[in-house]
Amino acid sequence: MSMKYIKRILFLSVSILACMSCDYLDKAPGVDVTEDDIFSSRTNVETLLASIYQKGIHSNLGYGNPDNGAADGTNPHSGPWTGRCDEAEQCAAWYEANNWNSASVTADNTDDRRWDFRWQAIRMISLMLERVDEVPDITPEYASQLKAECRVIRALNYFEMLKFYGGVPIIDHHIDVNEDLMIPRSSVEDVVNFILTDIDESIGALPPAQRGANRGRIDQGAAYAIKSKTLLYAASPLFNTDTPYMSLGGDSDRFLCYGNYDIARWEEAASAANDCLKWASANGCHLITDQGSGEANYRYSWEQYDNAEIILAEKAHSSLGKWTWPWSSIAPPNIYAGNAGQSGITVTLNHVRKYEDRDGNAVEWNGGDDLQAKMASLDPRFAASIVGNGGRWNDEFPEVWIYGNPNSGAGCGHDASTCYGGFWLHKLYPSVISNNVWTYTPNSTLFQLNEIYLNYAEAMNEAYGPDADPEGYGMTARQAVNIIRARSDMPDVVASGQDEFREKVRHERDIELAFDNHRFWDIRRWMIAEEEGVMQGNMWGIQVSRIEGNDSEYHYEPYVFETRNWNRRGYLHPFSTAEINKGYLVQNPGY
Amino acid sequence: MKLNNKIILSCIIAVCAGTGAVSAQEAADTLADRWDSVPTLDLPDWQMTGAVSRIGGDGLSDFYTSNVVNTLFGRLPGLTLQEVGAEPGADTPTLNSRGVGTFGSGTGLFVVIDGFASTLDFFSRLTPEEIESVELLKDATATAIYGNRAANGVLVVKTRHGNVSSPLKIDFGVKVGFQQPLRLPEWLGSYDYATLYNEALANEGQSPMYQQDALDAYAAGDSPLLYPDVNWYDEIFRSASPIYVYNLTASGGINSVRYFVHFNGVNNYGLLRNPMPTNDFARRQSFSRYNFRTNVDVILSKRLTASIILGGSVEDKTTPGVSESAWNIIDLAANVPPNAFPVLASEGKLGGNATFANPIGEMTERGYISYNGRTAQAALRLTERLDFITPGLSVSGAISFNNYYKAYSNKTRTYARYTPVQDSSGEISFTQIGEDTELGGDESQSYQWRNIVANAFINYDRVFDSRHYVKALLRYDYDEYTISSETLPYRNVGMAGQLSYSYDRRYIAEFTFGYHGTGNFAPGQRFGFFPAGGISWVISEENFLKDNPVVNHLKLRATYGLVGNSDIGGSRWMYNQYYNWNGYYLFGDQYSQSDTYLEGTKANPYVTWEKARKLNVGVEARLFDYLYFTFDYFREHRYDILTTPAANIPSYVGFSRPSMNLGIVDNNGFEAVLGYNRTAGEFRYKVEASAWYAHNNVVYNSEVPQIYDYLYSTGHIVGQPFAYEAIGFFRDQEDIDSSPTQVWGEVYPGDIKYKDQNGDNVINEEDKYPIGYTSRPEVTLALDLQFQYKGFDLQMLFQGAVNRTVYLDGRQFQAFQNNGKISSFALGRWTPETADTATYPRLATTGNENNYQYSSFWQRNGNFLKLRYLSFGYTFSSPAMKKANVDGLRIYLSGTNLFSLDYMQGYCDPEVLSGYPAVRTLSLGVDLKF
Repeated sequence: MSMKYIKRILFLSVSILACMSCDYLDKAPGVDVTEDDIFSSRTNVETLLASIYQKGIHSNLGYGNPDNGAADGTNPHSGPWTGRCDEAEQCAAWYEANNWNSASVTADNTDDRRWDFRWQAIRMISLMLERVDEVPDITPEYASQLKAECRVIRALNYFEMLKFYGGVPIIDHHIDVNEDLMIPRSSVEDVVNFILTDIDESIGALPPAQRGANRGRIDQGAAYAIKSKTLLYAASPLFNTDTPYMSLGGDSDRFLCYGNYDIARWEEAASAANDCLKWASANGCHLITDQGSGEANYRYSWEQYDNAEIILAEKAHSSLGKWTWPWSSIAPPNIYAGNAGQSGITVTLNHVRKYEDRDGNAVEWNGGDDLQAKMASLDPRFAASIVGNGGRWNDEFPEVWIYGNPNSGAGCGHDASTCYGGFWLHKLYPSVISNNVWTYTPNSTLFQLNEIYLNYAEAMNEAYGPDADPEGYGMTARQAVNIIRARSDMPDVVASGQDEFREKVRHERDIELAFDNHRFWDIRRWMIAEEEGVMQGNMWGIQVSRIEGNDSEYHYEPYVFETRNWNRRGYLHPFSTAEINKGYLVQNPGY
Repeated sequence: MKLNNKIILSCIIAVCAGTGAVSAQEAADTLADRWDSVPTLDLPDWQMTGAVSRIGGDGLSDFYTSNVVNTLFGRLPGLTLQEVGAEPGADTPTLNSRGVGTFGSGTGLFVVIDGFASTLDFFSRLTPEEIESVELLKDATATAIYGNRAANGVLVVKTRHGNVSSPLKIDFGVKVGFQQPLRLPEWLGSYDYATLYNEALANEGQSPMYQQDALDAYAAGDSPLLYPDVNWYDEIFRSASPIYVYNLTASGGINSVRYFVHFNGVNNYGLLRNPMPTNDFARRQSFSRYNFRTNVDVILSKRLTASIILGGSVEDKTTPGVSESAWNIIDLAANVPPNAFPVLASEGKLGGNATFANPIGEMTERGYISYNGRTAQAALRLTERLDFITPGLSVSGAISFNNYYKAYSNKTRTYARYTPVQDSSGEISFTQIGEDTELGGDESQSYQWRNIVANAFINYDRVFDSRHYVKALLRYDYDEYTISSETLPYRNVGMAGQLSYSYDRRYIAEFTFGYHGTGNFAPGQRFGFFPAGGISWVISEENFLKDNPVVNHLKLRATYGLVGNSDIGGSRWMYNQYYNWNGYYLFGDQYSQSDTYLEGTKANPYVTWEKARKLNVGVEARLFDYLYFTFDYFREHRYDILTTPAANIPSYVGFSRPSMNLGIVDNNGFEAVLGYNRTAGEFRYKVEASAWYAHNNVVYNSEVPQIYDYLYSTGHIVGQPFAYEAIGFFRDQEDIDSSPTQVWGEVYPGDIKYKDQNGDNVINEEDKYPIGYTSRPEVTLALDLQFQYKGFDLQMLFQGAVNRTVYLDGRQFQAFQNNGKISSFALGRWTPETADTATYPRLATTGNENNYQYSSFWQRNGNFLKLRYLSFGYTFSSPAMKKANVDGLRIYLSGTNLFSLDYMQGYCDPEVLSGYPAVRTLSLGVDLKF
């Protein structure tokens, strides 16, 4: 009898113990995606690639309310970058672009909303580099191409950080939670070399040019363009010097500049730009010259997505309504009013003054009764980028009226409200957006061939002067500028000598690359921010008024609509206080 | 090996039943012996080394409540309760054992009902009459057998069983009474509203909104259509709402069966007015619950007993309007100004305007939300003595199914309301807002919670040589919870044991452990071992104290051990690294969509439960037979609290920081009870005073680096409020100009002025300072007074709270905000004349961000002393009743929340500051026993 009990109890105990060790505490399989899933097929690994593009390709447009933080995609900066410099003014005062106008960018207000995104992209890139060879159904060649695309995106992000901060920590592997996490800043020189290594080692594995369904992916052209821009910046006065703009003392100054001037950096920049131009001519990438007029050529080059002049564009967003970002930050309030972030961007007279007349002469803006005639005489690129009084927005708004006081509605033109500069920015906002086409896909051009011509011209002039081509690239600095001017029906540049030509190249960049997120950074690398009317001093606009009994002309009067402040620390961005407090970074000087 | 648990359980049952069949053939002892020898799993009181508070169900049943948890205020030393308002069905207070020992999100007690893992929700749906006892297990040895769910304390509830000493006892009781809202806000009428609104406008430099003729009309009150003066609280609330409870229990035992049968009904019609006349759309607010229970124990054989527990409840709640809670209507009534519109614009036409709906309309015309909720508790336990193997050995197996299901029936519509408008000729017309629509229905909403709990025991309980007391227990636990909102069930499994040895009833040593696992953690991290040990010395059993006339009982206890809390917050399966879909990238000139997946929050493969090391030292004594006291001191060190490491992880890692077990909190305090229990002739009385205290301190929480040390929450109590320190009102413009800049817009004289803690001449986030306590008191005080004289009995229980801060927030305290009205609270507002005596900032009609920052101005000392419970009864007894088999008849009056001494100056209840009001309850009860 008792044996029977004991057996039963034994059975009971064994059952219990069996259950203690069995696996029913395990989570049942679900539809969750794990890291191993990512590397299990080509389809899956391409989702990681798309994620790397999504976080790693920035935009020159601003998506979304900055209060929403990271929820707003690739570039949560509100509004385009142009309002940060002397090109324009973001009309709604709360836009963070205006922080630069009051020199109130600080470590608690860093003006860099992509800080985390770049590191996320770089982390995914490291993961891709380490594991893509495990994917079973791709060829080794495709794996190499994926790695190459990723390394070029990494180079782009390090270039972005170089231009914001100078030297930053170099993260070249997939960081484990348990690692020692105190990686300090690297020098400007090391960061530039890291970028160049990534590009040089990748370029051979990339397709020469991505077209059709692969447009937007990194190809050799994008790699050459990033290299050209990196070397141009590295050769510029901000970095290519023995004295930093402000000193951190000792070796830390290497985070801010090279520590010496070397003309060879300009030579390398010229060579890289030449490589890119050679790539372009071999791969069907060319300046737009076939639209019938200089104005039409220029307009087409920025307005038509995926045109032959574009090397790389950001494509993170599907169509967005005209009432929201990025469109609502650009359209004048009375044209296509947005609910979210309604602003409009007004162009300053400081910028408009730079447009020559069609004969290449400087234009004076001293007030008078000839506004319409004056605007009609300007470089065609003015009309292709900017809408002045009586100008055309699109078919729905064929006449834009900007006369009267921008601060008061009484007696003013339809579009005068908040137009402090007297001109509205149109570039960046395709004309096709209308009450019929009320949602539109934003594509932001990051690299366009016109820039490369001007990179080439600037570097060639610095290295060899305006008219020399000792390396036999087949084009001088002057010729490059003239090619750019010619496609917009402008006469050749007139300048003699390296110094005078330098001013002309810079002037050409100001006009040709206006509003495309170049000027703010050019000001910094040329170190001209403290000049009157650049990043500090008076911002001029024109006050437009009707002339009694004259329907065809308007009176204009220049006036100062804003006085801006500049602090020399602004030559580089501050790292955020939260990041500095973690103890691994040296803050940039002055913050 | 993967085994279905149900198979195992049927094995347990089969084994037990099989043995039963065998043992039934054996010779029977007397039945009384058999009942006495049914093994119990609990240690007797004298043998315990841990800290446990207990209250019997008898002590809870005098007081009306629709929620038994509300009868526990001041009852269980160590248990801190926070009242949440009296809306029926949503009135379960927050419970904590010995305060809180963690800043993690899981601070709740582990609730065990009849030996099975359960929930506070389930407990709140029991009735006092069906409860045998409620025990609070506080220290490590008492709770270690609950392993990874024990650290926040364990509440053990036992339901009643029958008693074989009497064949049948019937108890019938009825309570009838009413509830009154306590301390409703005193809203100012239209004249005062308009006058003060003008004052607020003047403060902002604007011209008055109400001209003299309007003010005169409000003062005269003779034009209710155009110049209404509505107290919306008076319109929606009634002054008292009726309540009913009736219960019937029958219990007893015959031969080999004992039973407890219980039926209970509760009705509460809430504080909202009964809409009259009722239409098809309106239902009155109501709540009812019917509980039933049958607990039966059967001796199946000499060795085998079975215990069957079947309990359940059916609950119906209807709330007028479009929300399950009456809060929406009450909040609207607290918002609409008295002069906005009349209740009725004209016969059959409700008033209203573009800004506000009509609170009465919301109550009578919007339809209603009702739900039917059902709980079911079913359990079977078989216990078998195995004395034939060795005396004192027994086994027990049990399984329980518990279910809570709630199904909604929602009927909603919209209605038209009308704004009276007077044109220039004096003609009054009505502007219609909204439309009358058909009643629409939605029957689809439901919620379900259910669990299956199984446990099995091997129990050994024997006394050797009359002085060696040995008790050993080994148990296996399994439970699985399914919740309708979660895709996968929660599973827990484990073993636990207890070993107690006592020598000569003087020296006691106890060791307990839990070995438990949960499916929320990674393989290899799931199981944890939680040991605890205790010793006790019963000094009064020593020869030098035995039979001492003064010291009847004196015992010292000490325990130390490790327990866990697996309710750590965060998401489930944090050990898995997930990638989450994050929209598209649009490659190509045709923008074709490519999915993107982003690395989710970094996985933490080592994520685990919180652990607590707990020390408890206690002394208990009884002197002169009538004076008794207990004192327990405890220290708790809680570590591995889940937190996100903010400090020192650079952004360049590129992942979102994982949740990690890094936090540390210390918690310590005491419980003290001093009682006096005496009978003098026919006068019997008991006075018991108790106090308990728990103070915690965040030792480590990986915080974001701060510029100023005082901004860290580390080093303060859990939930430490950080507030701007209000230092008065700005006197004048000169004062403003010479003070630091406050960053929330332009300030004016009469606005609140804050202290510049860091001296940077700017008042911003960096000037928040740790001020005050939380709303959870550190100290609870209780005074229980009980008197009996002949047939009369009187009981009063006072409960107090100390070291507590409340924050005045919401419509009553924020005059004119969000288009709202003004209460008497704002009458002491700042004006240039009253600058020295003002108790409230200057009035403002616009959102005044400066004054409504979280600041010490709105904090109040939250200490209070309440008379929680009072009952006064008379028990009839006469030979005639005895003859009629009536054992007792008692009539009694009882009340809850009869008064409160506090710092609220009468503006609000110190625990329920807004929303559904706190209530006072008065009831008359009759209890008849056969």
